[in-house]
Amino acid sequence: MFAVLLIIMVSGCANEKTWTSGSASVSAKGEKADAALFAMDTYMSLTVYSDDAYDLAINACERIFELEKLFDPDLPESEVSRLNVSGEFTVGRELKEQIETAALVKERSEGAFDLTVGALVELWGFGDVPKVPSNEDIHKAISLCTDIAIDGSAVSLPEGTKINLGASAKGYTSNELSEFFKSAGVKSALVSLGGNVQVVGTKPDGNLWRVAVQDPRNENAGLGVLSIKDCAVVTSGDYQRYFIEEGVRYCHILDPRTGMSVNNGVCAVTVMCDNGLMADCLSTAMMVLGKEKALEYWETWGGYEMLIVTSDNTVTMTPGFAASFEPDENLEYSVEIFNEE
Amino acid sequence: MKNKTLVIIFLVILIAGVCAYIIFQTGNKADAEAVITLKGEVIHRISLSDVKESYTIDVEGSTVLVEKGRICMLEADCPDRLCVKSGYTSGPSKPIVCLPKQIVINITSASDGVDAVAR
Repeated sequence: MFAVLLIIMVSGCANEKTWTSGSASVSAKGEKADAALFAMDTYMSLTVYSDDAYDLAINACERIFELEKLFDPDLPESEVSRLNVSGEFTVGRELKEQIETAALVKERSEGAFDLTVGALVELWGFGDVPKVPSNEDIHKAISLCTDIAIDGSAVSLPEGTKINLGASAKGYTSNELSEFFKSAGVKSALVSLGGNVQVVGTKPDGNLWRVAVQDPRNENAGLGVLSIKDCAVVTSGDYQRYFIEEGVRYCHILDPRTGMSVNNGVCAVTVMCDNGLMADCLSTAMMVLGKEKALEYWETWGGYEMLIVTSDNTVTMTPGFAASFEPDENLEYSVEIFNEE
Repeated sequence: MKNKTLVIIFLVILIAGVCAYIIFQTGNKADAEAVITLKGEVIHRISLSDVKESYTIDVEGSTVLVEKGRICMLEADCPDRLCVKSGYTSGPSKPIVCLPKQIVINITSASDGVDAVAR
């Protein structure tokens, strides 16, 4: 019996497997595999529990790199670049799904969300050397934010219009990885793509996943913890990518209707939704809409829950969000639950 | 005689088993360990609870500050300095990441009570 015990323990230790490729690394032990990689301009990590965890984690990393090649605007042969350069392209299902979901959110938000902000984003220089553009240039760039014509898989853009997947590619990717894990029979997995979180099932012990929500005004603090299963949690905020010019702070989220950096009193929005792509699009759309219009959108369309942090130090949650959320005990914000009966 | 031999063999296996168990368990329960990776390769492992006095480490021109029980990126020459803005790591769910240089500072072997941070 002791011999068997010893063999199990030793073999348990020897069972650790590792894999590296480019910036990606996978380590697996027993039924758990962890992966970490740099892709899509961000740091990604994932954990999957399964008999095939090691192989599934490697497949997930390889798939992320494949998707990056489709979505990378700096890669001339990517689908996005070919569409932006030629104005016409027959896209794959990956890009089509993003264009269709974005069109829906654009329509419902009356233009507060738009994939065709490519020229506007380039003008502001986020990701390079950001600067406040001239009014004339902004005017020109917002005239290029327009509807995308799509017929089956054939997409066409007006001349000069460019799409930007900054508010959809990571959400699409986390959603596709979650679907891939589910189709492989995985009951427990967590994907975090630069802070876009999506979970499959529950933790292996049956408990809910615990996902903290970042405090937008204190990097070392959280607003609280969500307890969730089978859903995505995505935050958009003004606190990570921004620059200051002449004492004014400009965040990287742009309003396609005005061409300006968002400055409407909303510091961050966290969206919880069963679809990662929709959560990604909605978190940006809600930031642009501002608190009042965002809550109107939620009342009208629903299908998700959210938390909004405003500059008057208030955290406002929809009831479904509040039901899964445990505020931090040292929270220095007033907490409101919208439409609480 | 035969029984005595069997008992000795069992005892040896038992002791080996207990030793192996202790070694593995000790390895798993080490206090907060910071792991610094550069382009996916581990370049430093630091037991944060063993730190007596604060010190800095240079990683590709960026400065990591190591203190007792915690670690952060103190200075960086990358354009957006997100790694500096991200403050101290509180645990494995919140790594400090420098995207341009592909530096990751993570805490292992200690739980911060959450599985991920939405940000």
